Amino acid sequence: MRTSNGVFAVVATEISKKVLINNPSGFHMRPKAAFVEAASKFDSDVKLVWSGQAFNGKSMFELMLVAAPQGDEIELFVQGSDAPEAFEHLEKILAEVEPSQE
Amino acid sequence: MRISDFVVRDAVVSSLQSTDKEGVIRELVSGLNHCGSIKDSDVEDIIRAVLKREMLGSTGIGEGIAIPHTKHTGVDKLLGSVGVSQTGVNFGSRDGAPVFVFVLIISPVDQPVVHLRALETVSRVLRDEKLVKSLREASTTGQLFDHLEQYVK
Repeated sequence: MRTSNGVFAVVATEISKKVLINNPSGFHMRPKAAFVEAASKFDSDVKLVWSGQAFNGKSMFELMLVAAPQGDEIELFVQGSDAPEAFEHLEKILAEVEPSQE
Repeated sequence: MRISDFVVRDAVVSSLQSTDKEGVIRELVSGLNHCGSIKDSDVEDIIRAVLKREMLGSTGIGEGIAIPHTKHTGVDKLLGSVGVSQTGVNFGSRDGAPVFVFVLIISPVDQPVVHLRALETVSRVLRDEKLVKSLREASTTGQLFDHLEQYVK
């Protein structure tokens, strides 16, 4: 259920957005680990959709299957009581560009 | 991409002797050196690079599996090796559990897509608990590699 008004938003907020991968190394293991760690701190369900498949954003094993290079888009879905806060945090990790050290 | 495309058969270690992180990485890199896949002069630098990557966060992804990796100028194509520890090694994994199956990946520096796909391929294969069990039970390197080579999914 997608709603953003009134009290219902508190229990059923779902936010989704396509996020561009800017990192020259793609969405590689380190940002994945940071993503899983951050996602696990929130109550909301977190899902990533890439290449037509959905992946549980709180599972490192599942995120390892997302081989998204720079320039790809990943759709981020966050649903739950703390969705706005979680979304803001997780979107930042996905879109982050950090110097490649791998 | 298949895991047997880049794991070097003769480098595989079916029974790792080391009981710590550096030792395991050293054994796996040495295996690739002994079969001629990496040059003598690159061995120490590759070990250092893999350990440096570990300092940024363990590549132990949980469930007794780790994928130590680096990109290095000493290779011009994707290289991998697999090692199995019978006793388990504390690798600093996020779930705190010891690691039994290691897949080392060394990629060329200028091929980020290949690197991502290698890690994806390894993770896909090692999600299969039956396969992981058969890798842990393999008594020779030949058997271990055969399990990987025959794996289709």
